[in-house]
Amino acid sequence: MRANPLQPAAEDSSTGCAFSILYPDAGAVPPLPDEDPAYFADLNLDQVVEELTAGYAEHRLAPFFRHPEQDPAVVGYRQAVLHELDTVPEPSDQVWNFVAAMRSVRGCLGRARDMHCRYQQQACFLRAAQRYCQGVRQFGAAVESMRVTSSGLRSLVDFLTRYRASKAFVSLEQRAGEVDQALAAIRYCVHIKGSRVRVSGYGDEPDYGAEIRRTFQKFAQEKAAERRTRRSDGLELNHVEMAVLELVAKLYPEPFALLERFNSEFADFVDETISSFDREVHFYLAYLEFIDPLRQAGLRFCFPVVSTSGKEVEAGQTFDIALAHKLTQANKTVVCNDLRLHDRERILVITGPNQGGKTTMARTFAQVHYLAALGLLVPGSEARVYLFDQLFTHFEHGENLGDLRGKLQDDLLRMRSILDTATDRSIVILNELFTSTSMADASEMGTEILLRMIELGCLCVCVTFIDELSRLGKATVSMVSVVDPEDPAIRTYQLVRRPADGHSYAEAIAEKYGLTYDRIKERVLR
Amino acid sequence: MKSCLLNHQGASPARRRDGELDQELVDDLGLDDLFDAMASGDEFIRGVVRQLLPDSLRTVDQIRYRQAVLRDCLQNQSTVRELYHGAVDCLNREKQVWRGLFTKHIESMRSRSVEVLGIFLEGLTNLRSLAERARHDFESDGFGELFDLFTQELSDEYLDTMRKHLRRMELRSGVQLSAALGDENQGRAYRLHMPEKQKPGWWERVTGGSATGYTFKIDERDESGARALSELRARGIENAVHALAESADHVHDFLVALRTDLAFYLGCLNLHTALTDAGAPLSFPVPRQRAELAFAARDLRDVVLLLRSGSGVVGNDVESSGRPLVIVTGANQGGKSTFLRSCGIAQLMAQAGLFVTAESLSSSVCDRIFTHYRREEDDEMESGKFDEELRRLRNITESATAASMVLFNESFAATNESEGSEIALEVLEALCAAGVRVFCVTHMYALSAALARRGTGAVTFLRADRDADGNRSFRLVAGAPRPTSHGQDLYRMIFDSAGRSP
Repeated sequence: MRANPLQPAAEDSSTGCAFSILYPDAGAVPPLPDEDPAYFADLNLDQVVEELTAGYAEHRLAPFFRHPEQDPAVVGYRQAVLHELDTVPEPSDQVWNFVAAMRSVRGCLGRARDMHCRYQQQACFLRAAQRYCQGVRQFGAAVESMRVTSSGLRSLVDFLTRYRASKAFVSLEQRAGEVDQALAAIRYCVHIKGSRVRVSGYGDEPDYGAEIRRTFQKFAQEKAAERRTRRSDGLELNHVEMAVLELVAKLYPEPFALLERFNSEFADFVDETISSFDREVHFYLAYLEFIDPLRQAGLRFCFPVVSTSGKEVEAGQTFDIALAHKLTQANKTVVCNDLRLHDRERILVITGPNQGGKTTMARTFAQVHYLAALGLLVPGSEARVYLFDQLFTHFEHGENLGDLRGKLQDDLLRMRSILDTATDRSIVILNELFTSTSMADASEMGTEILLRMIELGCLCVCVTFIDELSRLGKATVSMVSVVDPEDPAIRTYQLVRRPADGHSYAEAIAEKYGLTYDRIKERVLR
Repeated sequence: MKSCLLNHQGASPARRRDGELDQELVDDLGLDDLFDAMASGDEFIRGVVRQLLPDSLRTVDQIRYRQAVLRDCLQNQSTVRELYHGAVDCLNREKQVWRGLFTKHIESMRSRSVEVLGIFLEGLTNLRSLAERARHDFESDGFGELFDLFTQELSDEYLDTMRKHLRRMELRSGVQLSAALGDENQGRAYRLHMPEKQKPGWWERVTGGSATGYTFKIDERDESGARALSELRARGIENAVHALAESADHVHDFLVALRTDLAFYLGCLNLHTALTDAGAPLSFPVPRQRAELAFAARDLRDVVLLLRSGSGVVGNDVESSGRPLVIVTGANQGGKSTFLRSCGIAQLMAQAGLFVTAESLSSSVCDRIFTHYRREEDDEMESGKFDEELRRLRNITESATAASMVLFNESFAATNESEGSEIALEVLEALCAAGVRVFCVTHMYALSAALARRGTGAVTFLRADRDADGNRSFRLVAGAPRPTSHGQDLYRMIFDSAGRSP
């Protein structure tokens, strides 16, 4: 069997494509990574991408999601396309229809490969071509009549107009139609008696089943149910049916010859640009599909303003997209928070009780930046983010707990390598630094590290239990996870910009159980 | 081909009913006794009358149509029973045909359908000859149409065609099928062509009927080939076999419809016998137009009492034509409830085309009868009971139309009299103003007195009375309500007859 014409080329840089829906310059598509970035698991972005791409294995979408862009022009190009697909119903419906048609084309080609009988292979191939033509024609006609504004979709419309008029497409469509008609006109007779089978032409013999129906119809009462004949679609022929089909082909040689010729002449009928568009556009579709239930649950997404100069960060009512996905599935509420870095603030130091949403907040900060760099909608009601050059995470890794000395060493080595590679344009996420040493040591080393970060000028989020780290000058800003004063046992997952104040959570819990100083005293003295 | 004994050919089918309200009607009027008498042990008949009786006919013509059919049945009891048993036997024999383990299997579906249709063919032939013999003994339009149907639709020629199809579908000389090519070049749209057409000439015998064609043979030892071939054959005959099975379904449905119609009349015949034995006066009621608001009866007796005790059932005369509301008051245990039930059942029977247990009855048609009885058996708190009563009334008012009839028996008594009367008064006046006919038994003097004050033009008052000695006659007389119910009578009767209480 021939190679599947829809199989994407091994090389991801789609050289021969007329345009790309992901890059403004189809000739400047970068090579995309085959593996997740090192920080993916720490940020839970691996879960998000896995979930996003789960239904679209054949499109191998993951590489698109592993390559954050640094060029604002690429981000802007994608934002415009996504905005149109998201907010204008028509183009989006049409794109969905088109990708469904292309899926069905692949299905037919797959069946063609699986078939054993030559005539069945050829028929499946013909159906694939017909569906392809129909899909392209409908899609082209539909988007042509729409007013699309994004330059990505405009290029698509231009391409489709040219392609539909091209000789390759026109003759494919015409020839497929001819073969189809010739085959559809065939009806043949089979006479079975004992083990003898005779195949012959059909001479307008009347349908005996219909005659029986006519005879007995008079007895039908109001609610008579019709018995349905099984459809015999999707069955591979057994060897007797194959023998019959061979004889039918012998009886009607012309249509089968047409079919044969069609197969060899149009072996690779799927256009490379069409095929590439089909794959690339799933980048948007899969993402919109992923965030839809989150929006249904009342969460908001927005297009961020991206900047390569100012490092002010703002994200209103934002949240961890991976966590939100899980909570929404379980019908639980997602808590949103505001993120802000003003003026010369570069380092967000998050303190507060355990399980209060500190790490989630750190992840959220990174996710918002990462998704923005992909050109996607980000969690939040409004956002302004910085287009980073690299992203680093330093999370506690559970392994080697027994060997504390080794662990500290490992931590420091990882830290060192981050500081060696990071630039003033990087983002660094530090989660619980140096927990394997004494508080005094941790405080000292942590301060040291943060001062280096400040000097470097990168953006940084630092989750820590050391309050001092939040007081290292104008570059640091403190955020604290808050507790519900009424019932501290309820976690609010709210974080606010506020000086780190140590023990508010514990005090609140104590109050609830009547274990404050005064009350204990009062009780004891009574 | 439809049986038309219950309704004119082409009459609209029964509407869907609210089962809960029907069940209340059955319970309140004690209709189970009536159904049992009609069934006389035949569960099928019981099911049919249970369904048909509450489903009132809606026009004078429809009622007359059934009355005529029923008169025919009374004149020709043995023929009607023969027809019924003809249909029943046919269906019983069908049931005995082995369904096979693989009913979906085409070959077993084919042989079963051929066999079942063979049984039906025989049964239909018998029904037709019965119809031909009996044609002149029947006078009603219903039976006329049915017998015409038999003789016209089941002609010798037609029965012969049926027979031919059944023989051909035995497929003794192989199958001739045709097919088109599907999307994947598989066969599709299979058709079977006339098996065993006529004897082929020598040329056809050699070529198989067509000038060009190719033949191959499955090797005898090729078991999977034989299986594949029988699958192909099955696919080829499938459509025709389904047609045959559908045909068997159709004839089955027709016979069931015929049996259902006849079961209704058999139930009427059974009831007629039972009531005649009980010495009841029986007459066909005169159906009147709705606008006349007619209800006039002479010697109207309660069917349930007649069926239970036979002799000694007291009849009542009523004349309430032109008035939408009948209020029954008077002595406890004076026959009020019995009277109400006799009116309800008589109306119901009249509306189903039956005779009634009265010397005469003339009544306007209604589209449906509702009952709203006090539920004595509910041992709830009073307020909960009143809630429940009002909820039921709400249901009724949601289903009732201007052409309906509602029977109230001691309704609204679950609260105090003044409150109950006030609500009842409003309900009754609203219903009557809407055109609904209402029969209402009440001991609430506040209610009846209020109605009496408003003039008697729209209300018929009946009273369960006692004679000078305080004995109840169980006979109702026309008369305005009196302030006391006769509970003290009851009290006195119980205590006096048992001697002076301690």
